[in-house]
Amino acid sequence: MKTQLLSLFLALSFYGFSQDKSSLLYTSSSIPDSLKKDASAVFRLDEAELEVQSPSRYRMNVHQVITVLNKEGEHHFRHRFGIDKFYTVPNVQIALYNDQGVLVKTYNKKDFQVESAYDNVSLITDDKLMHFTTPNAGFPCTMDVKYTLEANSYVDLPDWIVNTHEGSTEQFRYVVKVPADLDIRHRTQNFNITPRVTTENKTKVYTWEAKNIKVNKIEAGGYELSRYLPQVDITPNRFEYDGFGGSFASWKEFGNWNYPFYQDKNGFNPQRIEEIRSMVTANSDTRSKVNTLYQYLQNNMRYVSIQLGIGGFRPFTVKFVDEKKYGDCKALTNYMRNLLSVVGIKSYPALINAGDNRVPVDADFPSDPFNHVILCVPAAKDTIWLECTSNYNEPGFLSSFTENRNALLLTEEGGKLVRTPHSNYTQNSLVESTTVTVDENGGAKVSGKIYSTGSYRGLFNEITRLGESDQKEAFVHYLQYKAPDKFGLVKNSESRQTDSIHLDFEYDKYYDFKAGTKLFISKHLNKLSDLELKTTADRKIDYLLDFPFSKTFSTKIILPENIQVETLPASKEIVNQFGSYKTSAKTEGRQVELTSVLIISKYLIRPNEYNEAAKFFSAITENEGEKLILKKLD
Amino acid sequence: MRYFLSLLLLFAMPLFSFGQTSVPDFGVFENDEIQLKECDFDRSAEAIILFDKATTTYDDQYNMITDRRIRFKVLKESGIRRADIHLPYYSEDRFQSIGSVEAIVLTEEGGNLKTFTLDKKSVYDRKLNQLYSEVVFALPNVKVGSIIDYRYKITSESYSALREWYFQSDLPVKLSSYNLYMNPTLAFAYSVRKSALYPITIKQDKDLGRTLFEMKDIPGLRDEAYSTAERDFLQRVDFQLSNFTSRSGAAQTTSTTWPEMNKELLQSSYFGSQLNKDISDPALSLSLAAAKSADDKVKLVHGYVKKTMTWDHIDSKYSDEGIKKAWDKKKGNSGDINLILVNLLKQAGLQAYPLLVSEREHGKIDTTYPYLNQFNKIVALVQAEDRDYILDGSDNATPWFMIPPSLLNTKGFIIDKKRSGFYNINDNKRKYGSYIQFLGKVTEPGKMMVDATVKHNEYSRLERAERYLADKEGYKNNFISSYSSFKLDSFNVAGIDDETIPLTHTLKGEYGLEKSGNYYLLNYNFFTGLEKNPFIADNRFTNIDFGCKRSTSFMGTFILPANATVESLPKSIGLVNPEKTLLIKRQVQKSENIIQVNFIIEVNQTEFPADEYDVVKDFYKQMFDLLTEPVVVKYN
Repeated sequence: MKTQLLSLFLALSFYGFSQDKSSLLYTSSSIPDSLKKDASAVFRLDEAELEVQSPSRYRMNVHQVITVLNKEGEHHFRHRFGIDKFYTVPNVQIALYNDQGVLVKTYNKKDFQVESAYDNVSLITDDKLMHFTTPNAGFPCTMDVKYTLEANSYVDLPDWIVNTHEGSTEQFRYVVKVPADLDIRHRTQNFNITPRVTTENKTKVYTWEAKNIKVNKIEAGGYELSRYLPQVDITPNRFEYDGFGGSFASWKEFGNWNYPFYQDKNGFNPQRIEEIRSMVTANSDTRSKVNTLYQYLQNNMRYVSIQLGIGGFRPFTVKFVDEKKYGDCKALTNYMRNLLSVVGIKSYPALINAGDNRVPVDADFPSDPFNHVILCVPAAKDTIWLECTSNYNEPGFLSSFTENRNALLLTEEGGKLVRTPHSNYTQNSLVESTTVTVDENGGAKVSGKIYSTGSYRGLFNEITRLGESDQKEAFVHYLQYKAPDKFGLVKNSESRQTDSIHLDFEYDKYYDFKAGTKLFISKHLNKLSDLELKTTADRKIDYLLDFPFSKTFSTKIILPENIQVETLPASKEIVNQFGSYKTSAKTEGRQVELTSVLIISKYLIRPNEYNEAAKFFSAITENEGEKLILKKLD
Repeated sequence: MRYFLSLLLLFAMPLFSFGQTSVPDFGVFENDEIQLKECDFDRSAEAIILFDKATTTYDDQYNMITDRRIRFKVLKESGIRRADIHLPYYSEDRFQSIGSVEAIVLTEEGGNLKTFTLDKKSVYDRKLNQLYSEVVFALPNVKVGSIIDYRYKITSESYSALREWYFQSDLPVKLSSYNLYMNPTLAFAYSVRKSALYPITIKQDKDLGRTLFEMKDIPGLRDEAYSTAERDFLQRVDFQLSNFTSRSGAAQTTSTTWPEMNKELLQSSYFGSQLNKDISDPALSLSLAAAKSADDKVKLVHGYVKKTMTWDHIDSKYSDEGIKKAWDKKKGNSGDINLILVNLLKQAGLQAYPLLVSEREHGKIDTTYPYLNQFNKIVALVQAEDRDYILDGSDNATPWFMIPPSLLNTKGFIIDKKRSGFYNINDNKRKYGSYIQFLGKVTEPGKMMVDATVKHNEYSRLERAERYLADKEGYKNNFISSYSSFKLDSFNVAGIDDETIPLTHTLKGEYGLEKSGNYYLLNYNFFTGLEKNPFIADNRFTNIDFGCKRSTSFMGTFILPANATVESLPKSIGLVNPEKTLLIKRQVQKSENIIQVNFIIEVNQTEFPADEYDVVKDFYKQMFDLLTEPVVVKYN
């Protein structure tokens, strides 16, 4: 009798694994075709219940039933949880069913492995990765996954995102229970649902629910994928992380929480202050002082990421960086700020969501989407922004990693959301001028100069740092230079940051190919443009180029006596809303001069402009592909 | 480079007087080190290891204690990252620990040379996973020109941690010196793997039980295309203990002869005894009853194990908890899965053996040297009447009749009472084969309508089928990504479900011809996968290992409009090296307005030694010239 009661109890409490309900939920046959279309997996159930207990504690129970349809959905078998001393996963249960709905096997936390999480950047963090891969029971098969997540310290609360890019969802439910006096702030994106809200015993309960959410493939080339996915975003009003309490009531408040971390009472000692001041004695205005000190930072410091506990928010001290000459983004930013402060220049750390082409942070929804910090030197006219982890950037140049979005300035008066600069094509320029001296057999000696700014400067600085064989590899396979038989590259400066490099190449055979007595030669040593879009009937989202830019390639070809010009490539000019392209050729005596200039001033292409841009890019490729035709006299 | 091998037992060594090359004291820097601007035997190096010196000795519990000291100089900007030091160690059950970390940096600051000491608080010890940890630290004040001197002590519970000493790394090394005091209760052997180009000093003092290994001026070894394991080519000395039992009794790393190693593995409860466990499976037995040929049986058992078992992404030579448990869990390491496979193949009445293997990435086997750690996993070998099969149940992609690509051109060792011995794993029959049939109809100036069939066979099929299944959309885009003016109208892939037939792609589309002056350029290097010449480096240190033979065949028919003429037709031409191992033949014919371009490319040797690099490099250069020479067409 007793055992019977017990088993009944078990059957009730493990409702998800019981057979009666499962028969339909655990086979793919019951999935409507509309949800199978384009899907690699179908979430039969995607349910999470967040229970906020206090400003420093929450608990989240997740229940997902996932039918994996094919190999493209295989990644759903991999279960990964990021954990650390504040975030734990106390239990997890996975039941695996074959397509007949028969239970194959169950797994639990004991089957998981824990290892140190490695982000490819940091020297050390206290993040750990808890992971397990469910065996594949053949396609299709279904997993019933339940787990609990506990936080005993937090800044932000978990958002719940539906990944419609690769799967569909039969039933979606997100429940948030929060003490009414704490409450939450919330919004939905790409999702037309409003929560049902009830209050019981001083607990407020929000429920978002949706059914039959179809696959919606997101085209490539836009902002980050999550920008386009249906999601419920949650942010606390009050929070406490590692003993530090704060609030998201406004950006001002969140700034107030961060600001004290950047207060360092023991900055530089008097001797260092004297040394720093003496560095800028030759500089009269703010900008030149900033430039000098920024260059000092770039020439002396290196980026090393160390993130431990509150150290994920609080920088290493100024003294530490000054002595060790390394730091992470927070430490280097704070160090630069203190250098400037020694010479009487005020600046502010600015939190930012870094990454190429990220969506600007929503001004109306204070939260913590930040992963990086840069420095802002405010001025009435020309505010200067500094990326303090870069050894190469020109002062004031941010790159597509942080430009065109909102940054949270941390000031004495709290946080202020401000715009980072808009990128501009003049800041990313590449000028390549080469002289090619062709010999009688069609071989050539090439000497050239590459002048670069902005993102190109960063790229060429990275390449010049490499050993010679890797430099050649980068020039040929990445920059698509015609592979030279002799390769030589010289940096025109001893400093860490150079804007010009000199190249000396030799070719046994410089022409691309021969047809009879005619030699065909590419206009330039490498391709001017690798922009390429295929026209499409219905582009839905914006397309973003890495950055706006200008490129000027000029090649002077000096011919030997026995080789003559047969046909010059046609000249062409295109001007439109994206920028301009101009190519021209002229010859005089034994010389041919080929010039191509491409300016892309608009890096954000709207859906309705997409096909026009595609045509522009292919016109450039077509014209640049046109060759100089020479004739060999014998 | 030619390698020679020597296996020397300690007692057989003649006596030499001792003398380890002396190095400056810790933190004392010499003028020639300070003046050094580049490495004269490896000019493009970003940093140079001035010396890497270690002494291994033991305490009264026979713990193995190694004191290591490394001094290096940063020569280029990219070398600054070398100042972030990671020292991994085996931390399970505290088997190893690292202590006494010290470092001094010499850096020029404002015209003066200054030294900076590593702060003990900036040395972190972190656990990587259940087995390994690492000590990490970032050295202070490092710039180009900085010299870094660091040392540490690594203590291991026993001499079973003695594996190898690398004289070479990816950085050039001026002096590499290893001084080994052997635990007197143990016997050991060592094997030196080095190029004849670089001399080695080996001295031993029998009375002290000490052996010294030194090499000087070894250039760095960097990544190269079509290279297998870098480790194969690193100058090193490998060690093997001959009478040692590990704590768990599991790792029998102790054999002195190959037959002994065979015997030990057969007796091991984690290996040999697993082969006799009863894991019979009714469903499998039922389908086997109908199978007649070895082919059928191999196919059935291999397919059943692949379908049933999930690999946990750990490679092992052993079963972890026994194959019965793994069979029940339907999950295990590659040792579990392949012992299950051997077990079931035997039950099916086949001649099946566990085969110790070392995957290409893991490095080549030294057959003179019975050292288990040379191998990284086991697979199943079946010897049937007319052919052999190499099967890896943890590899979901490779079909039963092919060899897993990661094992091509390697050597295995059969574990069996009677049949034990070396086994060469190569495939001289199956190729990395592509076959392209291309019809291009030039309809109006510069525009070509394309109708093509692209077939991938055997190893080429294997590689592509995996990519296709993982991401179909990406695969399709990738197919035409090299041809910027190509617009696809249709794209179909057939044969994905039958691994015995080619993967066949049929596609239709439109391609824009390049134009120059009055000419259009008719290219024909379509879908061959030969877009970039991988062999552009001036020098090569490692062998070029293609794994299997390669064959590409292209048959193109191009129909020109009536008003087009051909300026000049590329020549029909062949290119072959004296050994006929590298070959390209191109045939170009024109009749009326139809141009036929056919070419075949063959690589008939699976591996080329590094000293034949120039031959391969020249061939590839000329081959790419042939492939990129278009038919020049003019409109009248």
